[in-house]
Amino acid sequence: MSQGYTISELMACVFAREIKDGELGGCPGVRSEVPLASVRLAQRMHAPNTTCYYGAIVYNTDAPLSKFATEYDRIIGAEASVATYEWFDTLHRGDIDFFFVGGMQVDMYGNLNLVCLGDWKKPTLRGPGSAGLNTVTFARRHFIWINEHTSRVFVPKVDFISCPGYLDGPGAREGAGLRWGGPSIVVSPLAVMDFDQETKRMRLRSVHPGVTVDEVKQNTGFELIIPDSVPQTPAPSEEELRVLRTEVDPAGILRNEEPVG
Amino acid sequence: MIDKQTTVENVIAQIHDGATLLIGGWGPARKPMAFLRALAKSPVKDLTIMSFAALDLDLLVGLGKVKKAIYGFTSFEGAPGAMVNFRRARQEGALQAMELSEYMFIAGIKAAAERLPFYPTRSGLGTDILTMNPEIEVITAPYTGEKLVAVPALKPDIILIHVNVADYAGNARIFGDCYLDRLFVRAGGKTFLSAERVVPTGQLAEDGRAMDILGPWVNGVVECPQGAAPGSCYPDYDVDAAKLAEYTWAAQDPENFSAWAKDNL
Repeated sequence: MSQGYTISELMACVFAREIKDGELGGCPGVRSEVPLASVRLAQRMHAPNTTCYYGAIVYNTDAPLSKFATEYDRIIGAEASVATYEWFDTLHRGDIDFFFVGGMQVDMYGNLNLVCLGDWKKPTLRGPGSAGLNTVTFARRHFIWINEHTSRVFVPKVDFISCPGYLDGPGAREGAGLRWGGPSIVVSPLAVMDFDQETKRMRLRSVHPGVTVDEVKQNTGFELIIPDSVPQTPAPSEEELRVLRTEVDPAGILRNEEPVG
Repeated sequence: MIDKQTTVENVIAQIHDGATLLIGGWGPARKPMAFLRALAKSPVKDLTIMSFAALDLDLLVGLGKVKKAIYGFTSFEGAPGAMVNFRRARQEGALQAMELSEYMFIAGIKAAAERLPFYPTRSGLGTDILTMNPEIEVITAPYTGEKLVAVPALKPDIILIHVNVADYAGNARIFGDCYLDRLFVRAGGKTFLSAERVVPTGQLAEDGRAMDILGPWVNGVVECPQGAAPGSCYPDYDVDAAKLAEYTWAAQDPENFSAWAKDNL
């Protein structure tokens, strides 16, 4: 393909296609360049009535895509600033349709860890903390984005559950008092995963162009459910790439890496 | 006429060894750094710090002043900089910690602000936050039978908050996000404000909007221009990225960090 897209652009397209028109969504305040791009792409492609909260807290902001966005960046160009207080109430009530979330580790049931590696009492690596992550689970569904697909990140069991996925299987969320929600998809640099309805285990949904099923299996630290036939993740369309590059990301933040396709 | 203007020194003198401090702001935004710089130079120790933490907690940990940290996150949240001192202390097991979600933290302050023993929330269900805080109970709701987390009241002795503008009586306006500061001032304990500007009482009420920080809950006000730097105070100034980077660099060297912080921050 002459125009060569990057993994970040592909991930933004995959997420954008998951967003339905009129939904209320949310992106975390840190390292949200892919989530923000995907929402803005969806708003321009098929979901003009979607509103997305961002950071702590504004919505529908024109803030530049950036790994590091300060409160200043977020407020400038936003449709509204939102009292942090009200935002949590909205989220807890279950009024947010989708939320993006990442982590240092993810396991076969979609549980996420952003707190620490090793024993919590004396961790080998201290992460940013639980933050709003477990509140995210009160969105109707959440999207997991992971920037490194290796068996260090895709582990059998996370060291600390900071954002509950399906915990340890069918019925576990309900047992813990979580009455709705859960992860719907996981997008990594290699593949798209979803969750098997019956077992609640992570299942391979598609592999990105140029990636094999074996490659995904070898880089995943637990047994993925592999359907008999695994399709390829649809590459970004010309229209998606045009909108991404001319309207959503003219500065080329998502292109600041080696193209893959 | 009420006049609560005081000095940074008088505020710091109210903080005793072992005190519990609740610090306003969020990540690098609107932290009361003028107070914390003065605290850094005082002999006070064994503090419990409750904060949506960034530079505030990391600085005090780096100076050996913190016995226990209670937090919903620890991050510079988008600004350059890293929690080097905090991370080191946690990885060495040298700091007591109460790890909460953002909302569990808020719920604990809500309980204190309403003089309730606990506040119910769904936040925390299904997480290891409950495993690591065994004193936090999951309760069964009356009426519905739902499981809810009962977050115990988090009670501060001293509350430190930075605002854009305050008046002599302690009423104050915050022009960016108030974060949880409107709630924090009602959590019990003594509240002290640092303010970019202090104006005569009455000037902040002109537009009829509800006041952001209410004077009756405030014990002292100090005018501190640039009082949140090197963090941000919207719309007066953004983060000082170079200073935060320098801070992060200095924190790599625990031997010399205290001297650096006292002279350079």
